[in-house]
Amino acid sequence: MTQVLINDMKLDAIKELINISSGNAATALAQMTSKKVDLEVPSVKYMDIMKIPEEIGGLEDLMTCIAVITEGDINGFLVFIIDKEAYLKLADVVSGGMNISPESVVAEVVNIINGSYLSALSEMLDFTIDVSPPETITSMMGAILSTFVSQLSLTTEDGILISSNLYIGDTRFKGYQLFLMEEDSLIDLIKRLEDKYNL
Amino acid sequence: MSLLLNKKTIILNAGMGDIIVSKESSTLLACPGLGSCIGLAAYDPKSGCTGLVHIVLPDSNKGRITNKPGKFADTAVPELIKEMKAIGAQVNNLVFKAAGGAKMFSGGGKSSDVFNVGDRNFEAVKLALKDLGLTLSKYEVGGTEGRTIRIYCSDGTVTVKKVNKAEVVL
Repeated sequence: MTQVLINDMKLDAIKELINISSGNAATALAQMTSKKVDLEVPSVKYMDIMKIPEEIGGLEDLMTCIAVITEGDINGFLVFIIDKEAYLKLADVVSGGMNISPESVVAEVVNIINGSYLSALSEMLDFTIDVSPPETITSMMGAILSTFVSQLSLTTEDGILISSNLYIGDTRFKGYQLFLMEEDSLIDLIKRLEDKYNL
Repeated sequence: MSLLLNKKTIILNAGMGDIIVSKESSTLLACPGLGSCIGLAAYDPKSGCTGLVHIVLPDSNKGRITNKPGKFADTAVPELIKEMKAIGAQVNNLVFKAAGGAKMFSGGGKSSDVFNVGDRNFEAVKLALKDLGLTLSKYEVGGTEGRTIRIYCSDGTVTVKKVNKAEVVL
């Protein structure tokens, strides 16, 4: 059993990448909504993916997730998870009362956030990543999480769990972003970080 | 029979790949929020032993080496039985019930086989039992909804709960 080791310095580099991406995403979302937008990332954890469901908790809570498959240099999933009620409120706040389905509104928000992560990876570390169309699922938290985790647990033991607070105007939306990738992709990511930043 | 929890009930949750066994009538074993995973519950009415395993994937030969036999159907079933025997259960008395195995994510049409892991998990659980001459007495699997499975150690009652629905006896 090999385990990809990420020391604090490498995790800091990943956090930095995520912070830069979050800033870019907030700028893009502010343009889209014409509102003040902030995307805080209070924690980034690199952890055993099988422990992620228990880490987040509320396994029977009704949540909505917007998931995409990433392919190319990074094979895995990007999954944005938010409470069902917050999801509907987010759609409402962003659409500004226009008659658009919540699914397309929130998918667009998540596309912007994902897009900023992926362009940071491509600009800073030369990754080429393709993304599938987003899929929206509403179910119990545990059911959503374990489905993605089980797909990856064939090859991988650890994943990146990002907690995020999205502020649109004065409203705070608390969500989670899972960045799960196959072990080969993770090894490649670490290697490119090491080469680029002499870690 | 009451499904209401009293103050003395101790709830033990089986996380992904966990196996829990109990002989204490005051305990309740649960897998909260199953998606494609399977919760396999076992009960020996004679000894009062109960067990629950949270199975994640069908086949240990296709996964990396793990110290969690409960993760894969083919290793989870014999390990559950072994642990139940260790607390006094008799294999021939065991009643097995299962829930889970949903298809949560379609994967946008592509990789559809990959996301049929729920179906494959269920088939693998049945096969692993069959290899030991055992069968499932009841099950509720498939579909697209998450479920919680519980087994009440007081009398071996197994229940399934879906979002916004009442807990029903399996």
